[in-house]
Amino acid sequence: MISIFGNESTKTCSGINRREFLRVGGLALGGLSAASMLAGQASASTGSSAFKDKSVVLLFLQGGPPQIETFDPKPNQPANNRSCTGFVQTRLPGVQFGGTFPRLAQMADRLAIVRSFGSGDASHNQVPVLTGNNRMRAPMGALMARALGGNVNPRTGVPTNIVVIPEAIRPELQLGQPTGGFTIQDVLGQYIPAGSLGSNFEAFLPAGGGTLMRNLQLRMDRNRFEDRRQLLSQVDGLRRRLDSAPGDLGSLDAFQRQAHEVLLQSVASAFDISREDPRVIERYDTSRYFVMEDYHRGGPNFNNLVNQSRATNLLGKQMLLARRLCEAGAGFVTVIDSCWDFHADGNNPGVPAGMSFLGPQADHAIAAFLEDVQQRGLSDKILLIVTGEMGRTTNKGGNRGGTDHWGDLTPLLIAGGGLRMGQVIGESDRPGGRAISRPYWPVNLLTTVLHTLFDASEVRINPALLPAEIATLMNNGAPPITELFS
Amino acid sequence: MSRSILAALMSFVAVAPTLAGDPALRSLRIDTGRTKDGSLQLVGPNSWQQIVVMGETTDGKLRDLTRTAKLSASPENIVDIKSGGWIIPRGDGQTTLTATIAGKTASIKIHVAQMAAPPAVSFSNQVVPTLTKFGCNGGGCHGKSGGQKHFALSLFGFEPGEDFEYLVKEARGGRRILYSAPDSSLLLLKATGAMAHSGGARIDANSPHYRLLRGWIAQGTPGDSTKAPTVTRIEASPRSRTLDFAEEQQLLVVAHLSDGSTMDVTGLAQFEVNDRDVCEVATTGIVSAGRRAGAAAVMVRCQTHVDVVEIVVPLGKTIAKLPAATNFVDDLVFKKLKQLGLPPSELADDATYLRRVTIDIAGRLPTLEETKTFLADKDAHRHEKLVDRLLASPEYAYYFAGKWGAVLRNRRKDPKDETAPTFAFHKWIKTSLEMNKPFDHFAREILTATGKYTDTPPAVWYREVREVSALVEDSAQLFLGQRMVCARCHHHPYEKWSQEDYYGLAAFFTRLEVKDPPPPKKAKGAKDAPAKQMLEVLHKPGQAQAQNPRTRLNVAPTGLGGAVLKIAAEDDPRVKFVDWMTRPDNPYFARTLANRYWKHFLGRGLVEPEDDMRITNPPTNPELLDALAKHIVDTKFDLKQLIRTICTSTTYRLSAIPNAHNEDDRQNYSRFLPRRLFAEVLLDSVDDVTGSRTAFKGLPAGTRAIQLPDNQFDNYFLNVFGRPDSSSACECERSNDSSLVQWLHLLNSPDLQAKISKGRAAQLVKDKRSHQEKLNELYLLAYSRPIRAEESQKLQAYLERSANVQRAYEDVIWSLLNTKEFSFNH
Repeated sequence: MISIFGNESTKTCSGINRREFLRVGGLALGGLSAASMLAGQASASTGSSAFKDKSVVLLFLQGGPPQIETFDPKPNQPANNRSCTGFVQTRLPGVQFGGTFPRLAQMADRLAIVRSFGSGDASHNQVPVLTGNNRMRAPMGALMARALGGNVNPRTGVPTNIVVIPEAIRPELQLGQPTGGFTIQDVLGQYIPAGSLGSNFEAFLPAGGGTLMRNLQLRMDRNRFEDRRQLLSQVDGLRRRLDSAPGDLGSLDAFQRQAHEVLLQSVASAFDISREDPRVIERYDTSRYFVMEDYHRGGPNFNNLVNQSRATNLLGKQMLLARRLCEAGAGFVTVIDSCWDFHADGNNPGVPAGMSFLGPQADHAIAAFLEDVQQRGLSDKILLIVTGEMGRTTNKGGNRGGTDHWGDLTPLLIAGGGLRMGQVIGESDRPGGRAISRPYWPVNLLTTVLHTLFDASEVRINPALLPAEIATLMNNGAPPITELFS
Repeated sequence: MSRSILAALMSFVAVAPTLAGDPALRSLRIDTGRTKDGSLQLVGPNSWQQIVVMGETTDGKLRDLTRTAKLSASPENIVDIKSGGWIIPRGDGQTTLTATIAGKTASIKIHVAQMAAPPAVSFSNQVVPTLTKFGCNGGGCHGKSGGQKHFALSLFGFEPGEDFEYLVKEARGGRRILYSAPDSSLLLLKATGAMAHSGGARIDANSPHYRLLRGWIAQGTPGDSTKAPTVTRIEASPRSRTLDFAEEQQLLVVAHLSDGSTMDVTGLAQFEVNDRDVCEVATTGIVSAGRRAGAAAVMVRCQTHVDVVEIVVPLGKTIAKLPAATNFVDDLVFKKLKQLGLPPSELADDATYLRRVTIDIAGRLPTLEETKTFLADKDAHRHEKLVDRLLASPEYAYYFAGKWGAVLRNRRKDPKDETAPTFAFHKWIKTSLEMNKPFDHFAREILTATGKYTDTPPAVWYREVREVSALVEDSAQLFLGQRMVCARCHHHPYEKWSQEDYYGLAAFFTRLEVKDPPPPKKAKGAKDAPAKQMLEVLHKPGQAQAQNPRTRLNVAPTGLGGAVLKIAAEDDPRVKFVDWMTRPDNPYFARTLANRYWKHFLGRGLVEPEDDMRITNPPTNPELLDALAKHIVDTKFDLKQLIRTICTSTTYRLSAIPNAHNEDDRQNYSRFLPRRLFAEVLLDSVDDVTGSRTAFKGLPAGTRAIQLPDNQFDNYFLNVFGRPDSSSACECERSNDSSLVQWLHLLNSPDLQAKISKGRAAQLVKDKRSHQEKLNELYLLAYSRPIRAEESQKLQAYLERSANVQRAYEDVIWSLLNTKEFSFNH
């Protein structure tokens, strides 16, 4: 039900509100609340004992990636049903991937593919997968921040919950505004807010470019900054007098303290991939897969594929940034790769055309990430999830091979995190439209993430280790994807 | 959500005993909202009745005892009594329903008829509201355009005729409705979750709602005959109720039908409360008082009909002493505070008032001179005189020109576009405010602007507000406080406005031509491009009318809720619109202005948001809003007088520091609500204190941020502190939210550091006065008050301890700028 009171009413069917404008510029970083700030809450100090010290990278293929052309290619089906990108044999006997994923096929023993996962929603609604439909409407990254008692890693100052869009790599990009629920405002409106957890746990969006990044680097020597901080605490008399009315100044105060922490911990460099070894950058680079300007305003494909105007060839570098942030102490990094919507209508390509450039890039970027993470010995420390907000209808239509939205099955790849790899979980029906084994839904993905991050047996014995709403999700929520934990 | 509805509807877990320590019950009664002569009719198995058992204690307080009293019927086989006081008919006959508690009883008679030969279930009055109640036709589900998973319904069921097509005719032969086996209809299987349903299990198979839908299918899905009675209005009761903390009240909602009959729609209505801290309302219509004193409105909606129940939760403190009232504003604010038992804060001191009112009227900090003069002034009328001085200052006009310019969408599409039009419009707004043009004239000149913008600058409004829809929606939001956008495509869900009303307004704007061709291209070899043709607004004579897209009939120009107007073809219909709008008895125009300005000065509108004055969004203090509107009309729309009245009131002068009782109050003006300075004011204030002015490209040095003629001058500071983009008529574009990036900027930006070290700090080092004097001056500049002894000691010690005096002053200034006392108006 839409709300008639409060902020919702500032938003119309067609409009966006000011807050979202600010987010677009990467300006409203949402609330980063330092753990120390919440020290008064038992959860903050104790949450760590159930925390297994892992990070999550969620690669969101936004638009509705086809389950068939990715990891469930149906080689024996008729032409309009089976993968139109061909087939590639993986390292797992009898398991094939779609033809644009040769590198991932070679490392299938280090992956888990879930063929019975569905988002349950056949619209461009990312909320179910992001939140597992939890009551708080809080994305998993926000839940993690909440569980850790704050949205900043107290050790490194790096935000816990981060969303990486192409503008985090190239802030000067002026990507277009696709139609129907695809504008960056629409998209970020789903990824950034923390639902009823409140703005303190909103995702950080490192895409503001120049001034913000400069402001992140402390401008003076630390002693002087500390002196100033002392001085400030002495002169701010009004704050003390109004402290009893927390609604007035409360959140402001929190943000100010967070800013101090962020500055003292040199967070800015974590966002700067140019500090990586050039050979590492090269290994991740996906810019050779297509000329992204072709799809942007002024490019030859812009007019007939306007919904591809957020397509970029920067996914590799986005994944590199995600790895760098995890190393620097980030908890949950959501990487968004747009334009996986293949209707073959006036705005979108069909499946063959769309997969031809997005598929190889994703294959390369995911594989580079997994190799890098393995070389650094972090495979068990980082859980990678690759999915989208839905899958697609099984039969490609017309000469351009268009498909529609499909919520019953959605591609899902899982890697690392200390979970059991080298398996295909679940089975779909012959056309690849429905699960014929036990189906998994976003709610199971949510508990899978929670069980990866937190020690389930500890939490069962002592739910107070985590905030009540999260402990309840673990203890009384849906089961995780059990095959990953066996 | 579905779970919670189910749980709430089916197993009324809430228990509302008489509150602990209540005096004894004096009397008891059973309310239904439609009892006639002590009895009630239930016709057919698809009817029901919510009852409410009300007790009155010996001290005159009312208590809802529905969920604690024992309910019984005699004879027993006529009705079923569900928990929570829901009565379901079981067999024909008459029974007496009795409520018993604490030795008191009350009873009503209930007649049940036509159980064997039930009347047809009403599609419009029963089936569709059921689908609405459970969210089936919501905008995120089947109500969205095109429906969900091949099943479409009209949004919120506003078009029952279409719903009937979708449900019955379109599905013919399909499984959605199975007449032979109603329980196997997809409609029911999906709704109960018996079959996989993305929307989840929403209706319990044992509920009366299920029984209703099933009954409708079993009857062969009857449609509404043209003679079928329609709902003419709904009535919620009690109309208003004063609740103690944690007390509950079940609401009743009765629908009145066109044939004079009534039906209980409590179980079909939707409830929403506008202030959840004061009270909450469950889907069952049970209101529970929350943790904070105040007043709240519960909106009750059943299809196109709405009603409002007022809930008051008093704090109940005795108010020993109220400050003296200055004018009618205080009389009405204090009246409310007395009703709530909410003692107001004390008066703010003169320094605080000076800073507060200077920021609010002139958008800047007081100068050193002003502060010194005012703090020394002992004149009893010094506050009034100060307000007059500020209203006469050029900054007043600049500040409010910025406010109006943003919502009048005075913007350039691209920062590279020519500035002449926006500058001209800005200048016109500023001059209008300076000369105190009556607000009705101000609005008239904008809404009827005709000609080239160089002659008629308000014609620039039509650059951004050009489409008929934009003209309807912007003028309604700006001047009538009405958000019409919903009614463009469907009946407004929370208002009485239909598409007919929308297109009645639209008709006023249909005889309009806006000429604004793109700049001509430079011809090959030519030295300059030909001059751009000037923006021009013209009236095209002809019959003003707009087509309602649903009925496909033309609608004549009609003011909201007003009479249809006959306008001669040669007359500009916009003039008639303004005539209607600015009449003294127009219910919207003056009240919208009153609320907008009240919010500017008091931090919270009497209606929030300030430009959304729906009937379902009532003011927190209706008398005050009415009085302010009357004041505006009486003074012939004198804006300066309105500001004078508000800013010299005792209410505006109250301190922001809460007392023991009012720290939670954010709606009754028992204290001043502190708020962050607007982006432009904050930047100017930083510049004033640091003594270094921000440069804006293309504008003369020394231009202040509040003087910017439009909002397309790029500035990071203004952006992060939430300056509006001027791209809508909504005040909500301005964001006063706090964020981490703002603080990173204030604490650490190279720009700010440069300002601090280059300007004031360098000056202070050269200044020969004592540290004490210089620090006092800094405090006067930044906070408009003298430094306190203990502050002076600490800071002097800091300065003396430092090896580098310039750096130490920089640190002091930096600290002052980063305090709440600086960045807030308090």
